[in-house]
Amino acid sequence: MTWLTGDSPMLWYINRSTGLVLLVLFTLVTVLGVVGTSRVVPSWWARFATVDLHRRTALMAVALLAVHVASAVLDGYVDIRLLDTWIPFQSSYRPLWMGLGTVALDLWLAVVVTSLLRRRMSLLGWKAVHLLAYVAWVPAVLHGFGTGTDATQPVVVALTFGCVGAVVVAAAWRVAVSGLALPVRLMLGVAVVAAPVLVTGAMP
Amino acid sequence: MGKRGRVEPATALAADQVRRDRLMAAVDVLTVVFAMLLVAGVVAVTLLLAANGDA
Repeated sequence: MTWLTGDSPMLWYINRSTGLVLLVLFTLVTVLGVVGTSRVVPSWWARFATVDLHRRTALMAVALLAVHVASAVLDGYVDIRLLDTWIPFQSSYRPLWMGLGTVALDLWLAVVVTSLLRRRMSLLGWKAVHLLAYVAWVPAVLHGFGTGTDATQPVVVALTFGCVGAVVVAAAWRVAVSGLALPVRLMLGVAVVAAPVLVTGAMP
Repeated sequence: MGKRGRVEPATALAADQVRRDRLMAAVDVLTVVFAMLLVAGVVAVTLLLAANGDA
């Protein structure tokens, strides 16, 4: 098991690979979450199946997130302390980008804990916290884009843009079928498409 | 079926249960596929990085 020691680069490789797979997995969880809230379902499918798939993929993502965090802390290639993974913007290694990942982790933890305690909470309170999962997806993507050692690789850039595109399309579709008044839908639609463009434009 | 095209409630319930079971089986299959892709993705990218020796 020498490859699992801090001196071996294997943990660093595992950290990077889990990060990339997490980007795809959390995108899938987010898309399933967005789609699962709509009552518009094809006749051969059912909403409960989407919701169940959303829960299962979210569980997988949380397990993989634990591996991602553990490999970052245990690896000796970069100096990331356990505390840096819980308290944002404390890390000596790329503090801003690491901090964004920590913000996403903290938000997801809140979502996981409240989901486990759902029966003891009001539906409104649970929903309010659960919406943070969508918010958390944004700093998570930025964390990968900024911290990611492989972020400038064409394949990774394409993957990131593909994931952003998937969430934008899902959110735009959700707004379109929401049944809200047309001006509200248009406003939300513009916001959904403009937000990633503005964020990407602001990236260094 | 009861009289001429009328679906008995019990039959409708049974049909709905069959549909639910099929969908849950599909969800189970999709879960396994996602889990396999997840593991394969992590292993493949890790090995790729290790092969390139790119720290």
